[in-house]
Amino acid sequence: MSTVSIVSIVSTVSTLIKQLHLMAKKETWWGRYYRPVIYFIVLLCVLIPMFVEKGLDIQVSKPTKGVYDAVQNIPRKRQETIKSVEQKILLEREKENANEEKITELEEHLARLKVHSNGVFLICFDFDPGTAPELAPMAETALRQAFKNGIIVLGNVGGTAVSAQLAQNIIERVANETRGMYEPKINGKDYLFFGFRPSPMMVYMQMGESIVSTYDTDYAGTDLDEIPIMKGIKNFEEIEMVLELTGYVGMPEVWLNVAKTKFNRDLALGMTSVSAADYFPYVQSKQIVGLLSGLRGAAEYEAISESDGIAVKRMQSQTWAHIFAIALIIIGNIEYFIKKLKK
Amino acid sequence: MRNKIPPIICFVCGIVFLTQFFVPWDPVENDMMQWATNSMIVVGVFALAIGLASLVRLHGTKISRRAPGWGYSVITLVCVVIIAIIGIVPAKYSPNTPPTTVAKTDIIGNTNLILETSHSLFGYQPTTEITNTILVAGSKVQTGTRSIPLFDWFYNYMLYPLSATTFSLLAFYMMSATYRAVRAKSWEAGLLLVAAIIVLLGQVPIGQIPFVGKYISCGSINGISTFDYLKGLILQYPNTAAKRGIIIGVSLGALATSVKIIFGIEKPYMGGK
Repeated sequence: MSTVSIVSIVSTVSTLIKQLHLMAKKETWWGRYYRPVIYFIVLLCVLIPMFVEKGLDIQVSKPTKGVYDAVQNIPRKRQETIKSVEQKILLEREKENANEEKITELEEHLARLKVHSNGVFLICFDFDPGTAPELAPMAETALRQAFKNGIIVLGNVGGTAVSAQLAQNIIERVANETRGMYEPKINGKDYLFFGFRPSPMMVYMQMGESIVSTYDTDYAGTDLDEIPIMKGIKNFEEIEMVLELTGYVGMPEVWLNVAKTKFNRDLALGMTSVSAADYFPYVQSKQIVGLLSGLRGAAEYEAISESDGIAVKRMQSQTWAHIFAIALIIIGNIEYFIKKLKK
Repeated sequence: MRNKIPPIICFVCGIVFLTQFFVPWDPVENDMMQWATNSMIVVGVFALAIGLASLVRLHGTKISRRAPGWGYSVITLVCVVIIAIIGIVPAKYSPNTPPTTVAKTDIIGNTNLILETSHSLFGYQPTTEITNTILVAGSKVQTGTRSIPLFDWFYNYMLYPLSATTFSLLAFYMMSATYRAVRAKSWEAGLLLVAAIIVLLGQVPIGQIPFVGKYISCGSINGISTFDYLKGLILQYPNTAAKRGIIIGVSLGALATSVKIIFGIEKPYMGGK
């Protein structure tokens, strides 16, 4: 390294330290106007990368892979359930005092299972426009993965009524924007959206008995009895997996109590980055099959599904914003220590 | 008497539904649960009505007294009335401008469609018609249209952008708070700071950023980038352990509080009396 470059680096650093010292005294314009400057730089950090076409290579973590694998396994789980019910019927029939009522119940259950041979997947869209940038890409990717595998998708909203319209828009758009991955999906035949009902704990408990008696109609107001998809779905026994997408702490606990503990369905969570850290204990204890954590989780899910989504592109903006946040932390701490040393 | 009935109801319902969970008898396990579920849903809907009444009363009082900011209360009440009315208006009274959206295919011989959506000021999102027509790659077909109810229009073009904007302000405030408040004033704060920086760097693919990435990334561990690996360690071990302790503590506290409420030792539903 040449003498000139060493001198220039030293002088730059000393000028920076002097400036930081002055900043600490708020004698400079920075001390008075730092907020608008920070806001403007954040705007640039978020806006400029959005025009960059090249995405980033995202490394997929285990919690995200858990969600992807669980959705991929839904058709296999359905076939295993069908075989298991058939065996139960055979065993029951072989008994001396066969319980005819139980056999009939099992046969009806088997008939419903065979209606949707690739399985049924319930997605709970508990996010509003504020958290949609992180969670909507997860919803889209999950829907595409399910539609690609011929899995029937049910949607509902438990947290707030504001989410219902947003969820409907996402489902309809993904059902029609096939991107060459699947045939356009038909409402009532390939997917169904129930809409919103208050008191999620009570609603989900009742769904464990009968979905038709819980919702009566779908979001458009059509009677559930008239919808072909419901011929093969009575309650949670015919649903293989639940994916809860939410930014609200407290909603996943409802699903953990109902879907996992009471009905033993596979449960996956998609949370905002802020809330996701609270649910890692459930990943470790295998109470949930996977966890999608914020925009990074959405990008990982898109990467592993090979889905050309927006989350991977948004990671550019998030990366630069994080770099700027770290720079602010460093600058702030240097300023603090200079002030402290001066005192 | 007025102060005795609510605790009696609370006690009876609490004991009944506590034991109901453990009784394996169909009328109790299923029928009673279904009745309780339906009742809760009805109560929930009444709570919405009470919320609306409370909102109208609060803002009405502000307007009548000309309290500071009463203009915003007028806007709030006007919006409540408008949204309530348009939620009831049938779809045929909604805006129905000519379609500005076309669909295109990019796969030869397929009926798969990709929507290109462009909105006019009063535009909306049409749905596609499903056909069995074989379409040539790159061709454009006019999509079917449907009238979007006014309610959907207000949601898509007013509520959604406004909610997203309000929430995004948080990012800017957090950045300025990061500069002002995240200081290593003690060794614990310093530890938190280091963990925060590791998680911030681990959350993004820092090594792929041009110019600065290769200086910051610090290689990889077990095939995973270093900060990603360290972030995973922090989240899987200390975070999980601490959070698990908090979950258990909160659950035990909730259990104790529930027992106190059922037995009338605490009466939060009495309004602090």
